[in-house]
Amino acid sequence: MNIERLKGSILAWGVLDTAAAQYVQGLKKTVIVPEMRPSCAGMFRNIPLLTRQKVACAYCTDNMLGILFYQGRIEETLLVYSREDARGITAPSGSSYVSVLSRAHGVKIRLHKGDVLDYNAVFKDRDARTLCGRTFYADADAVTARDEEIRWDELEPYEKIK
Amino acid sequence: MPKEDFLNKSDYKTPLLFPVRFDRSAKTIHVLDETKLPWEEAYIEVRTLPDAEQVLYEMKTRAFGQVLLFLYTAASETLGQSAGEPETIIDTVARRFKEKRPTFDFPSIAALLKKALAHQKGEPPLEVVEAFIKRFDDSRKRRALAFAAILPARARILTLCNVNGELVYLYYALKSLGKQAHFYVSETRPYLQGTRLTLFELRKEGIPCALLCDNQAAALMSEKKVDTVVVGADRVNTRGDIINKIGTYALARFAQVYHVPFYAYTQYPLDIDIEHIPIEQRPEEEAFMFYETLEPRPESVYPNFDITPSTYISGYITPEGVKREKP
Repeated sequence: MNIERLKGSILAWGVLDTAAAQYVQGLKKTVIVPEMRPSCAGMFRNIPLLTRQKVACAYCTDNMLGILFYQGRIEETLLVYSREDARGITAPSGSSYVSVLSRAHGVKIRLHKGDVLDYNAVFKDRDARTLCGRTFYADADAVTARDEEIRWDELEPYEKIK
Repeated sequence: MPKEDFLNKSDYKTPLLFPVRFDRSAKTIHVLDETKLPWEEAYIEVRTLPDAEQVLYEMKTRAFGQVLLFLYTAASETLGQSAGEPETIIDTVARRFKEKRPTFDFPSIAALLKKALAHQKGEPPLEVVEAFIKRFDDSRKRRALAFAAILPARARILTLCNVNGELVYLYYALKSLGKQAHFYVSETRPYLQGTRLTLFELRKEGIPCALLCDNQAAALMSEKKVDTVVVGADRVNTRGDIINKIGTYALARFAQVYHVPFYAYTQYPLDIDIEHIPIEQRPEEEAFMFYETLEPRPESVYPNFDITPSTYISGYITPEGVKREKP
């Protein structure tokens, strides 16, 4: 797909559930679905779910989000998180990447509380040393992927899906 | 390690310092097949311009490797040509290389080669190319020292993609100044140049390093685990805007938010509007690299580079040293 086709798109980050999928379906826009390393939840969970809901999707790797924001191709970010408290939310590894870029480009964040997922039970990869179960370096050091805590003020301005 | 030892050191283990070499006796260019790293160090033999074009398009080599490939291809294509024709041949090679990799500035490298040929009139093109490469390598070592001088005593450096041995030089330059370094390497999907090339060469040299997924960079910086971000630059203009591997711009924005200095290795700046340079779009299927089966495969975008405006760049590591304002 030529990148020029992406205009006014919705970025979906986190493990989408049916409610989130129905929300983006209602927007009738192309949904950008990043890979979501290391789990690749974007590829293995979000794409199939959105495809079943007949939502137009465009896959990208996580590092392509910068240029998509830079070129103004993202109208709204949907961020699905697993827990919240008075300080903020707990969301999958990489959520800070998405929230900081969204705020830096004046893109509104739409929040949705989804399911709590045991990544270790569901996905093959735990960090960057492997991809789809293929090992690049068994004995290298790697930064452990873990949920990230993002303060409410770091998400402003945001709204929650009703 | 004294500074002189660093400057004279030649026993590097990483093949990525010079990933393309010329075998004079066989008149063959040997290209390290980067797509096979880290599992295998294999070389592809290139004997003709079409061979070189294929290797280039398939990204068997890139960055400094594609510069070396261009130089050796241009030199070997001029072998046996009469006076006046080498310049035309060099321009032809540059044009054809640019068709395969439209973002990189082969015409500028061609101009430098023609200038060197004119300056060393009468010298065989291959000798001129080897001297050109030697001068560039010497400048890589000098800029490693210049950059090392401004880094902290225990430098935690975040990078992405691969800069062909420059970080290895940086590590030894830091050592010569009594400093230490640890590198965080962003994997750089979908090709995984960070994983397969940079982590490979750092580990080969025994240099402390750790791998991260691209999307972990913001969290890492927010946790104050990074002192400096350093990247390469495929293109740079005189204002200091750069084009580099996809994912670079995001790192620059995080670096600004979390107050981390952001540097870029640059050379040959041009007085151009960076927005006018085409951003290479790779074939869609390459975005799914390393997935074995995907049915059905979704639609994808794959811009191979992005633009980082100079606003987000703290300094430039140039052949002339570190520059703060402009490259």
